[in-house]
Amino acid sequence: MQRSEQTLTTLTVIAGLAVLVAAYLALVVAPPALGPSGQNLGPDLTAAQRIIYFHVPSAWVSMLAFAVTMVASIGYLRTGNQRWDIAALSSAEIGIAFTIAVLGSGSVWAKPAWNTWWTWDPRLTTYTIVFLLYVSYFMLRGSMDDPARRARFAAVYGIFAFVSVPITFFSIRWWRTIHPVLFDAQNFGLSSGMKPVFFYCLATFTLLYMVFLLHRMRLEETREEVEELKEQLGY
Amino acid sequence: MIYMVAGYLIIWLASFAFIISLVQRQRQLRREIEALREMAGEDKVTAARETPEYKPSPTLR
Repeated sequence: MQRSEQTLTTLTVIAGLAVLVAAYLALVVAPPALGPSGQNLGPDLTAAQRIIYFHVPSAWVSMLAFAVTMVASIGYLRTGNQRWDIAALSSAEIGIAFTIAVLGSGSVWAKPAWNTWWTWDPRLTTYTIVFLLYVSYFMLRGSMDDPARRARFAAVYGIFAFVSVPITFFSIRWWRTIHPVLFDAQNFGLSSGMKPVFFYCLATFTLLYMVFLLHRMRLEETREEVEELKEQLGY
Repeated sequence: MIYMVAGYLIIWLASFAFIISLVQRQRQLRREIEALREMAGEDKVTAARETPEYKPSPTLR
């Protein structure tokens, strides 16, 4: 086994264990959330609040993934190196998976909190737009056969699509919204007991993202090798 | 409680769906590589047989 493969296997095992520990901390160890004035939220919402430990890190990872897509797209346009395109594509795919996790888990949380599964709140609307923009990124890639042209167009699109991400992040600060603002310049909306679990989950999801990215990039590199092999053999 | 379980289930499902799709694509690529290797091996044999000085090798069948 090559050294890089050993490292990836080790990282994968660590990330898997870290996620299990995160689930235990979030579901068992973290104290129950209370309302703004310290009141009890009721059984359904108190339990549903624990979604935050995986929901917010999923949102963080999806935004991080799209940021990496943007940076890698710039890298590709500057250098023309195929590895940048592979990184952009791989990261966008992970971003999509975590965006689905965010929208789904948020919708489930909204039912006990807002008494509805979905509302066209600025945060939910802008996140849906982010999701559709990155689905379109894959549709754009799928519509082109020439690899160089595909990579170039996707890179330009990947840079412009990222504009939607900071808009989504700031939407709950810029516009009237019912979505909670977890932190702003003055406050952090979690109790001191919740913070360590929350930050542990953030770190775990970041590690999980890195592991997913490395696996996804390796897959794409193998695919490119297969394509090259086919060309060499004339298939 | 049901909402919490459903919320976590969605996140786990999204993650596992991604992992399963990675594994499946990796398997598909391995199968393709195997097939290409076999085809390349057959091509080598055919090309070798077509050359006038062809002599069967004990390892190349």
